[in-house]
Amino acid sequence: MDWVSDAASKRQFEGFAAEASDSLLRTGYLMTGDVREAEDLVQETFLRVARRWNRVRSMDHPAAYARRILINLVLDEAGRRSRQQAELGPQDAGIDAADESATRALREVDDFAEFRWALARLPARQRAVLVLRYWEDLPVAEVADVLGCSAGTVTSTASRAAARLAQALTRSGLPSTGPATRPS
Amino acid sequence: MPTHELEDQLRSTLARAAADFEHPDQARQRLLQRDYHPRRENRRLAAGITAGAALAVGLAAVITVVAHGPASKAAPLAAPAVRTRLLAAIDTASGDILYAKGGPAPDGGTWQSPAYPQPGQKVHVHTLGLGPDGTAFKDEEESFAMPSGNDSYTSNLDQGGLQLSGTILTVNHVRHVWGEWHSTFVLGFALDAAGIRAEIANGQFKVVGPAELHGQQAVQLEINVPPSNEAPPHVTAARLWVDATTYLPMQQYVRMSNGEQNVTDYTFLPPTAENLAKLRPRIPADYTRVGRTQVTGPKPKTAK
Repeated sequence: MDWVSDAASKRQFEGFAAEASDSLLRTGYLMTGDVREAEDLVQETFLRVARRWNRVRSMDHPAAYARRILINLVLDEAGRRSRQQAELGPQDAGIDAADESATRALREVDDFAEFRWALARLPARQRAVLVLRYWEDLPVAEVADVLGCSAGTVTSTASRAAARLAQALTRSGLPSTGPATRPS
Repeated sequence: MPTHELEDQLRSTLARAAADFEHPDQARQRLLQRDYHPRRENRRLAAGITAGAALAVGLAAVITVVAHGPASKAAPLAAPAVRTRLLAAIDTASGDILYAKGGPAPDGGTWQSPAYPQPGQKVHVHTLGLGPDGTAFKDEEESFAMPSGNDSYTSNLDQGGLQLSGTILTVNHVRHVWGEWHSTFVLGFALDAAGIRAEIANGQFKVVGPAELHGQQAVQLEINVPPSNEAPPHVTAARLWVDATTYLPMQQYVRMSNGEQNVTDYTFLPPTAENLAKLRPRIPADYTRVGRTQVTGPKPKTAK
């Protein structure tokens, strides 16, 4: 059988869950911008890990496996919310010109609710690249492995994501003309 | 490639945003308190579903899935909040009569009292199975004491049914006879309600979002169903709708691996005299009391 099947492996799984939960919760939080959604996602992640625990526990990095599940859950969910992303507005700015403005915009962030809002407005894969690369601090190759793309795609996506983040942050300083979707 | 300065800024900003996570310890505690034993949950769910499926067969309950109204735009509640409300609602209604209906016949179904029995409590379950023409092909009441001890209860659940000792009262409306005797039997239906409660208590569900069911506001849940290694048919998907006001279960939908879909509607009835009367089969005055074999007929021969 291929899940938490006896007392010893159950204890081992519980140890793993205790160790991994904090990081997964924060990753889920950055990916969704919502504490409860993050908790639901981590719960689902643990369920899936538990189902395959006898295999997962023999891996070198079970936490990396769990993180991959979490990210895939977010990406799957994002597919259902793709219409929301269409509301982001103008397309990506030129990548080369964007780094400086993105750096400036990030430096000026003092309201993290607003930052999380801007992050949540990014397409899910762009958000995943930023969170994995700069919050989890994974090497580019590892991010590429998690997302199933090339290293070049990771770096270009990171640049586009940063530029788009800067756009959103800059525009969020303007008077809102749309529905009340801004963070309170 | 973003510049180093931008990369540093991203690291710093993300770290500060992640640090804003409120009450991570509480979230961790909730997560770690849950039972992630999927096999047992799966079997428990399967046991409940098997029971539900058995009931469905009796009641010709394989019906078309009802169309559910579009979800409203209100933000869905998170699972932990829903779980708390569900368990509180179930506790409040635990003494009610649970009426479950899994078929198109207008008057058939199963009545169980109490809805969520405690160990040692006397339980009554009345099953009325009606054919398409309204003829009762099953009219039976089982009375038993709810087994005590969580271990035996769980192990019985894992075996696909609750082995019980109690009283059976059966009315045979074809032969116009009835009988009552002490017996052992396996009861599945009681697990349906208990199984749902167990799934909720263990957090084995996701909140899909607000929905409308039978003109009422509801919350749709998706029960986590791990892949099954058991012989088909087994459950591949399960959903539960609960009342958005009372948080009591309204409907359960399951899809089996053979494509069959079962829907069971739940109604919680207060234990009034009128409702308590529904727990017993109605015995017409001209029916004769007879022995067990005359009510149920000869036992089927074992296939060789």
